[in-house]
Amino acid sequence: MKEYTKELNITVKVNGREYHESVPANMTLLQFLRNKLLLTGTKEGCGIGECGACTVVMNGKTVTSCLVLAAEADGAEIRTIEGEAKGEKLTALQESFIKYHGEQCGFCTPGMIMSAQNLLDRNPKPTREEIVEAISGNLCRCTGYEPIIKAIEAVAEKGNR
Amino acid sequence: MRYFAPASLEEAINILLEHEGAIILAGGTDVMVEKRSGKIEPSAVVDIKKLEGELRYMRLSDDRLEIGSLTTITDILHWGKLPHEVTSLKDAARVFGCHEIRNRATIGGNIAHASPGAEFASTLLALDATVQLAGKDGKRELSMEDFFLGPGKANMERGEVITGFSVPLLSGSSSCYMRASRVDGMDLAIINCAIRLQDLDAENLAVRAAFGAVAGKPIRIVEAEKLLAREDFEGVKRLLFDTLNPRATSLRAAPMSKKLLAGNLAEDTYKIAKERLAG
Repeated sequence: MKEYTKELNITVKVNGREYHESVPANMTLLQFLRNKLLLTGTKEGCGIGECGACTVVMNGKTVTSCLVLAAEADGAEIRTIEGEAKGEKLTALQESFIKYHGEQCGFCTPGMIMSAQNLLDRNPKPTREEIVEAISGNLCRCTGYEPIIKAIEAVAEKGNR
Repeated sequence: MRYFAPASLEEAINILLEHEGAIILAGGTDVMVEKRSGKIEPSAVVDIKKLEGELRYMRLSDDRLEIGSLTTITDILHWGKLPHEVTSLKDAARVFGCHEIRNRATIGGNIAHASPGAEFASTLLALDATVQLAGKDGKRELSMEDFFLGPGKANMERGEVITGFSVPLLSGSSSCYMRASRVDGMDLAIINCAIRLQDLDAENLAVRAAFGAVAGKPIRIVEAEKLLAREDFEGVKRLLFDTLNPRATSLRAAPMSKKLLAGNLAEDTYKIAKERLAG
C-alpha cells in the first residue's frame, strides 16, 4: 500500500526574506528553491550529493540542497546565489570569477561561489590547500579548476567582499 | 511518504514502531541518495535532528570517549580535545566526502547504514568501541563486531535508534585509519584499514586491525594482527592475498585488486600508528 505524500507547512528564510509554504514531504530543498520559489540559480547536477552544483548555505554551513528535504529546512536560514549580488553590484568574489575566467559553461558556478564564499567567511585568508579542500565537493568539467582557485586566491589576498 | 520530526527519543521510537517501512533520517547523505535511486521507498522518514540536544556530543569521561550519534563529521574533524589515542577518528573524518557532506553526515548514520566500506565502521571496530541503542524495551550496548551483520544489515530491531558510541582510551595506545581510493577528494574507499596499537611492554605490542570493503561487512583479522605485531609485513601481504575473499559484486575495484592492496595498506597504516605511538 502506497501512501499519498502528505503536505506540510514550513517557514524558511531565504536570502533574508521569510516564506511560508506548503510542501510535499518528499520535496527536496533544491526542488523547493527552484520550483516553489523560482530561485533557479541553484542548479541540479547529479542529484546525489556528489557534484556540488546545488550547494547553498543553510544556517551558516554549506550543504548540498539535493540531499536536504524542504521539511528539514523548516525554521532555517538559507542563502543562495541570488542573495550574493546586491542589485547590479556583484560581490568581490563574483567580480574575481569574471576577471580570472573562473567560469566557462557556468553550471557549477553558483555552487562554486557558495562554497568559496563560505570558506572566505570562515577563513578570510585561506591557503591554496584550504581553497582546494573547500571546493573539493564542487565538480567543474570546463576550467580544470586553476582559474577558479586563482579567482578565490585573488580575493583572499585583497580582502573579502 | 510522510515526514516526522519528533522532539524526544521516546516519540521517535514510537513513530518508528507505528509506521511500517519508516526510516530514520539523520544527515540524509545516505537516505536521500537511496531514496532517489529507488533502492528504498520509505513510507515515512523520521527526522531525528530535533534530538541534537541529547544526541550530539563528544565527552571525555574517565578512560573513555563518548560520542553522540548525531555528532557530525565536521564536529569530529574540528574538535580540539580529541585524545591522541583516537587520532584515527580524525583520519576518517578528514577523508570523509567533502565539506558539504561532512556538515550533514553523522557518525550514527555512517554506522547504521552498515556499508562494508564506511569510514567509521572499521575505525570504531579497530578502536574496540561499543554502539549504544535505544528501543521500546530500553537500552542495549553492542560491540562493533556484533553490530554489523552483512552489507547494509545492522543488528538493529525495528524501532531502535543508535544513541551513541563509547570508545575506550587505552594508556600507551595509538591508532590510524587509511583508505585506498581512486582520487584524494570526494570519493569512497576501494578498501580501508584501521589499526590500534598498544604498548604491552618494551618488546610487545597489542594490535587490533580492521578492514573495510574487503568482505560483506567490516572485519577484524586476528591472524593479520599477529603478523603485524611481529612486523612481518611480507607475511601480512601473503596472508591477506591468500585469505581475503572480496565480493564479486565489489564496487570500485576488482576483488583481485583488493587482495593485492590490502597488505600494503595494512603496512602503511601500521607504520603511521607506530610513529604516533612513539610521538
